[in-house]
Amino acid sequence: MNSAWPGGARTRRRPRFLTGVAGAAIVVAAWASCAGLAPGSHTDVFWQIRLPRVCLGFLAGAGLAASGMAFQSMFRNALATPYTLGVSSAASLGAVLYMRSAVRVAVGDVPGVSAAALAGAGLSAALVYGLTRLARGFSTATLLLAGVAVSFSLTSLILLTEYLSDVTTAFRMGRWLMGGLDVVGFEPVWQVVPFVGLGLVFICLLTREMDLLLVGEDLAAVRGVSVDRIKKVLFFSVSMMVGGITAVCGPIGFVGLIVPHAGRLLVGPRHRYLAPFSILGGGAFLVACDGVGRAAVAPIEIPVGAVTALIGGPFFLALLLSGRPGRRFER
Amino acid sequence: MPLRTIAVALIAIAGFPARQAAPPAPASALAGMPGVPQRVVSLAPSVTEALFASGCGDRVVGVTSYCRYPPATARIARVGGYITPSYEAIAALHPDLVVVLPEHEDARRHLTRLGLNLLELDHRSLRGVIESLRTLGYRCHAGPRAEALAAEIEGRFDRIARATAGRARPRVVIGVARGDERGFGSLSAAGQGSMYDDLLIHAGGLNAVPPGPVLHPTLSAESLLRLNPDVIVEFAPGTADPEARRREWRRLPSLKAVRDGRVIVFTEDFLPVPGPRLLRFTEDLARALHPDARWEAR
Repeated sequence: MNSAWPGGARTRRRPRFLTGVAGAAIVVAAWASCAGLAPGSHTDVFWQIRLPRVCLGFLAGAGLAASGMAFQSMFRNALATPYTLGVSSAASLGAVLYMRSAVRVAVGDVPGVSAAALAGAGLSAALVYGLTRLARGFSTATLLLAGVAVSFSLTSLILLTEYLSDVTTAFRMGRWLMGGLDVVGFEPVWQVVPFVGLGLVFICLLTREMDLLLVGEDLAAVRGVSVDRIKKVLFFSVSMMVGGITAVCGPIGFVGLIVPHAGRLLVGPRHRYLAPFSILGGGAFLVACDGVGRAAVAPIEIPVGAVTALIGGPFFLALLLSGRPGRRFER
Repeated sequence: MPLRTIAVALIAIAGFPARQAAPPAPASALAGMPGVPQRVVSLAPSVTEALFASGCGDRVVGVTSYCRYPPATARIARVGGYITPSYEAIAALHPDLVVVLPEHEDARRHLTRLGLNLLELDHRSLRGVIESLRTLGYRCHAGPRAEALAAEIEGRFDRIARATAGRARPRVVIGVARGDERGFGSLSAAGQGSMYDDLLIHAGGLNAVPPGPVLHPTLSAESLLRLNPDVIVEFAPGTADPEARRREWRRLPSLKAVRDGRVIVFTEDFLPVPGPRLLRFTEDLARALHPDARWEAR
């Protein structure tokens, strides 16, 4: 593994590179905040619609990319995404069940659909954790299999709920399942901040442990890492972030898959550098994708989830064909 | 997910050029009066149709990208999709009224936060569409015209009721869309409680689809044979060759409707839009279901 990490000169250049990524993220955010504001827009459009949207996009992108990075390291699997363990499917099921039901409630400023999605995400995390514990210990393989099984089951329930709904409700569900950042006001941003903020703090504090987990659990244990405890912290941090983001933005794919891989190519697999890259790069990538989706056929807005998939799919295929991700995960 | 496909198709179809043009809305004598909305945004094709039909068309400043009827909408600014409007585009138009439907739950929340006035109409039933005309007329001070239109439509319903009174109601399956263009593998039918079920009842028919949890259940050829309706009505908006559709049904000769030659294909483009034109269409459907009833000349 160590042989895959670039040596000293490149290591010294990484902080400067990360500064450049931060600068690029600021430029992207500034472009997305101001570009294409409709003629005649007053300042309310900027403050009430555009700026909250860019902030939410940055937070969601940062959280999803960092989550993907953490899961890829924890599972030592290049294909792991923030949604691998079914948290997003559960959040989506909560949202579509709410749309299908006649109940219309709001929890304070939190819309009912977001509250239902968050409840679904929490229940799913508890279920996957419980199933893994039932199998004794906190085996990565059991966690992965339990999560994938739960995810598939919930996805089939989403399809069933969608089928049992009328045309317009099914259309709304389909639209929600594509993900979106079209919000008004800063309330949704503040609702996401605690989930993403806390999750990112935990992930940034565990960069060394993730380096060792990526090499192997046995080696990490020998080097003093409490493997089970770290995996639980990562599991709950990621579940919390993904649940909070999905509840507000819906499921947005590919950010958590491609940004960490791009980071491994550009700054190497050490999490001390990869984590900040994922946070900055993920945020900037999602904000840029949303800007493209908003501007491409304005005023019709292409859901950001569709744009990330459109860009992410070919990118990921290129990565697969280059064989680089596989090598990075070789021990 | 056939329903999602059908929903997109139905909504997209709503944008096809219309068969008949509505008379242009005259400029209201009350335009400019304080309290009367002067800048109205519509968030659905059926709402746009209702606005123009009730005499408020001259005050519409924003419509969705699916709104293509009446032709005058071509000159009006677009504010994005039907369920997914662009809030920036709406705010930039400075509307004093945004007209929404119950399915605009998310949009309602965001638009309220922007401080915009909202008016919610209910286009989930024929009665709701008629009432929406009156509501728009009242709100936009176009009451007489809206009331005249609503009364005309109610008059049509009365004529249908008189013409079909005492006649046996045929059991009908209305196919609103095909999930598979090649055959009958996935015909989306109008279930009980749907808008088209309402249309059918007003037209003097009975829905052969039993009550169930799905508003537009998917019927296979086997399900159709089990239901064995007296009449099959298929909506094929924009289809150039309805005869070809009817010929396709002959592949199921065991169906009573096929044996009796009672497969009716409608190709009107407005069928997916629950607007005033769909109300007027009720009489066409009734005449097709009861061709030997005593109909007044039109």
